[in-house]
Amino acid sequence: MLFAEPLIALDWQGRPADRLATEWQWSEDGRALTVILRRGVKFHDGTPVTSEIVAGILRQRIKKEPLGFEALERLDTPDGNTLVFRLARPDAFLIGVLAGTLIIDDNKPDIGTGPFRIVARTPILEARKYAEYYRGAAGLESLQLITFPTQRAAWVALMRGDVEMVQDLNPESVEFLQGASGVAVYSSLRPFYIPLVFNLHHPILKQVEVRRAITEAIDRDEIVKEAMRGQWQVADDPVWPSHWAYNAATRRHSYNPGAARLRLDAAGFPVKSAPGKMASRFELKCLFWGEDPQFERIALLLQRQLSEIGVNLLLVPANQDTMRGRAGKGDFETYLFQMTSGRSFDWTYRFWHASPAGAAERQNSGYSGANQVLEALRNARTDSEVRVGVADLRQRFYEDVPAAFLAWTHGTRAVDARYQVSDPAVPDIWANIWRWRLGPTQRAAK
Amino acid sequence: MKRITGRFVLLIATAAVFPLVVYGLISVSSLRSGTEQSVGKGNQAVAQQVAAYIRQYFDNNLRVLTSIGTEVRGTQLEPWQQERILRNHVLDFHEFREISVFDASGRLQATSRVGPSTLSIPDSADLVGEGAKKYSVATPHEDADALPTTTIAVPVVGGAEDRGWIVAEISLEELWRTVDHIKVGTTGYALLLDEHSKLLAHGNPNDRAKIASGAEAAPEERALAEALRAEQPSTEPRQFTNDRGQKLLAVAAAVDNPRWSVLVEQPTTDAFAVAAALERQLLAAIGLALLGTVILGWLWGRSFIQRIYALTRVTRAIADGRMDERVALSGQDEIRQLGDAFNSMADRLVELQEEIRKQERQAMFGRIAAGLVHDLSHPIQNIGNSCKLIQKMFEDLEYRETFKKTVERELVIIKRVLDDLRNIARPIPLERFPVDLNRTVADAAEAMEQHAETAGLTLRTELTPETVFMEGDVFALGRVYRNLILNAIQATAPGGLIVVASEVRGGRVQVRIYDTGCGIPPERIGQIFEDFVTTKRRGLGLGLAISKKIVEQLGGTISVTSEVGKGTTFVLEFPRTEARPMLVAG
Repeated sequence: MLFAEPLIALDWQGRPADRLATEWQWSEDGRALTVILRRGVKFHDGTPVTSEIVAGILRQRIKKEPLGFEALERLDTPDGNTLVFRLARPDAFLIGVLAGTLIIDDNKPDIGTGPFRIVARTPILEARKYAEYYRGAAGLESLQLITFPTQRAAWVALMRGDVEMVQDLNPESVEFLQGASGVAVYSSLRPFYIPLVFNLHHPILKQVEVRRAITEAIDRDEIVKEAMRGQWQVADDPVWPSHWAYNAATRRHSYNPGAARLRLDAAGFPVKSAPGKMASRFELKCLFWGEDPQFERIALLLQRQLSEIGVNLLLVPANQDTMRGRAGKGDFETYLFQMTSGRSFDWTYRFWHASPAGAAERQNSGYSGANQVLEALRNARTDSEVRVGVADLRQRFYEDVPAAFLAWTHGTRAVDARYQVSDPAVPDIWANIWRWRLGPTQRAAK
Repeated sequence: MKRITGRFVLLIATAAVFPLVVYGLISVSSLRSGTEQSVGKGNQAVAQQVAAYIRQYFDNNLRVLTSIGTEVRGTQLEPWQQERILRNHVLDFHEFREISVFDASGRLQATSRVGPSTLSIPDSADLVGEGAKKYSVATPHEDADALPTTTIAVPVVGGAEDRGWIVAEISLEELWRTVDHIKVGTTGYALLLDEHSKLLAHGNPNDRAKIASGAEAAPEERALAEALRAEQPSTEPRQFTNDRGQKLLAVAAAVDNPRWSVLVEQPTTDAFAVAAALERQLLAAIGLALLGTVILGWLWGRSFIQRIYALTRVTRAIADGRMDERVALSGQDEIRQLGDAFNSMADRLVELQEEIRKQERQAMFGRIAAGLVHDLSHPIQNIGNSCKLIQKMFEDLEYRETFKKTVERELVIIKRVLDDLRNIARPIPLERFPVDLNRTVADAAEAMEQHAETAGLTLRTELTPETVFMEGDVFALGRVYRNLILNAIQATAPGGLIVVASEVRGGRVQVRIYDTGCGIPPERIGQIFEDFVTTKRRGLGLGLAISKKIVEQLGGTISVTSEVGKGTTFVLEFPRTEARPMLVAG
């Protein structure tokens, strides 16, 4: 959003919003999406944004990463200002996919249409405002983006005055920045959730009563409080809680370790002693993101909570690549990681829809219970169909328990208080950075 | 009057303002010193409480670790059990990032970490504390995220031969909460320094960046901490200005083992806010009291002075003869009484003046009457006698001629008396022309020589040899000289001497008439030239008054010196003139 933009964006509630496109229209059969480009928009190098150029960029992108465009048969450009996406089957998720697809040429990665244009990538990424940005020139003259190895390192840099904004703070840091007169802290829900994903290929976990018992044995409030310092929000399923079709009145698992024990007893998993081991009903290995102390803490809490019902959770730390690789291959019993939901359902589809054999998967947990509902959502044409689909999906997750959904993460931005960034209409200040203003002694924002 | 005003101001200043100002200064000074002491002691107590709290914090952690160590080392627990115990404590105590158990040789036996432990046992020489409560607290260091962290190591005994260590990494972020919760006044805060005066925690949110940057404390803060480490249990409050230009009141207290220091700092504007407000109120009250005193003093003094001014004005009016002026003073005090007394005095003065005038008029009338009787009775009697004789001797032609001469002579005398009376009231008609001084003097002396001889006196003239002239009326001058010589004759006993002399003195001529007579008493010599004043028993007393009037009309002066029993000298001076006298025909 800083340097390049999509054709269509999704607002906080998941509704489409205009960006490079000002209009979009589905055909009657839902197999064609006509998109009208905004007139007069130019890339940072002065090139006009035309349908031919956009189509070329999209084809390039699809060729490289077809994810989300599987249904696309053809991309037409009937005139210089119109794109027509022709699909093999209806795909309501295409809007969400387009919202996540930035219009930027891979051969010219520094040339976009956003409010800032990249002027240097080394030693740090530096951008200056794009005076001809179609929504108005940015309030800041320039930006410097610095990547830190950890969130805590970033906030230390903020406290030292080395940077003026940290894009994402961990909950521990937030507490210490509250009350500092020189720094303003802005928190908002992020479309990321943390599940303990069960592998349904596992002989024990394939039993829904076991998964339900494990879910009931997890005190998610304690996890949010102890591991996330109360900064996050308990999750029930992967549906974005701020989505316009989200209905809060739904069934959810409550913390009930006594019931969990009874379920496991009923399922035939009594507590057994073994030399050198914890007396337990069974053992489960938990793959978790060991590079982040917060995930280690969550894992330790899960281990302790599950030990209360006689489940011995064996913790296995792993790095991100290992996590992704093993999740995609189904090489896990349970795993603890962070997943994106986006503000639509295309990511939910990718994570929780069982792909045909042989297809690349983000996660292979053996769960296919939501396939039908997810397909219905993909084919939904009206708001009511989407609402019904969302309700059905949440019901499926409740009943099938493919994972213990723990929490939604909160994104916390910390900004030098001299910046005027607050906009009640936009919960996440980062989305509005081009509107930020600085006081008299303006300097490049870092 | 200005002096009185000044004295009033001085009186007010001395009696009211000065004591009030002194009282105010003493009060403000006492308030300041008292507040500084009480605030300093209060903050010192807070610092000591924080230090005690941090000691308690370490004691609690040490107890927890000792308890864990005993539990882990002495009970033959399985490794997984040891790990669960350690992990549970890490979950329950947020300050513990990691807890690991080592044997005496430093070999890891159990750790709370899912991965490998990052800790090791310390050098035994680093142990502090006494008896069984020995432990080691490492110098705080910055972790991978540049945040202060320290390591606590506690020796544990699991059995006779089972010695080991339990080591915990403690995030000092947790101490920030402890320190952060300390609020002194409105904006006061606490901070924590390690044994090298490096900042470990800072209660001021705006200064927390210093923790992250590994900054040392300010020089004044280090000085306080070093004074503590110099075995002083507490230090006197100090004031200094921080890098933001804010003046702070700082106190310190020692933590002990580790030898850290707790400082409590409070902006002086906050620390002394109540005292400052009281000070302002006190100064305002004193200022108002001063203002009120000065205004009242000024008004009172003004009313007092105004009445004195009024009294002075009327006194001057009376002195100028405006006898009807009176003073009207308000009030019932002594000044009013003085004004009333003054008015009474003025009334009485007017009455006395009237009485004096009346008496003077009566005396003068008597004197004039007596003088007229004296001056006119003799010629009238002579005329009367001559008239009686003429009846008998009417036929005697010689007597008829004598009668005529006698009547004419006495009428001349009567006329002269009447002229004198007229001349007192109006200017004397004079004919001014140059006259020979010596001649006029000699003529007068010669005319009076017969009188002198009759009185048995010697009349001598001592004239200047130089012929000098003066502007004058021969007849008027002759009358003046004759009058003075006659007075001398009448005042000098037989055998006495009368000298008439003339002399030239620069541009003026002088005539002196000297006698060896009885002289004039000093109390009367001042009035001899006034009308109707005479040293003789009879007569109008107009001779010297008319003489003085003639001399002054001719531009001259007349003066007298006299000594009772020795004689009197009259001195007349006239301007000299060089012109010769006109020859008068006939």
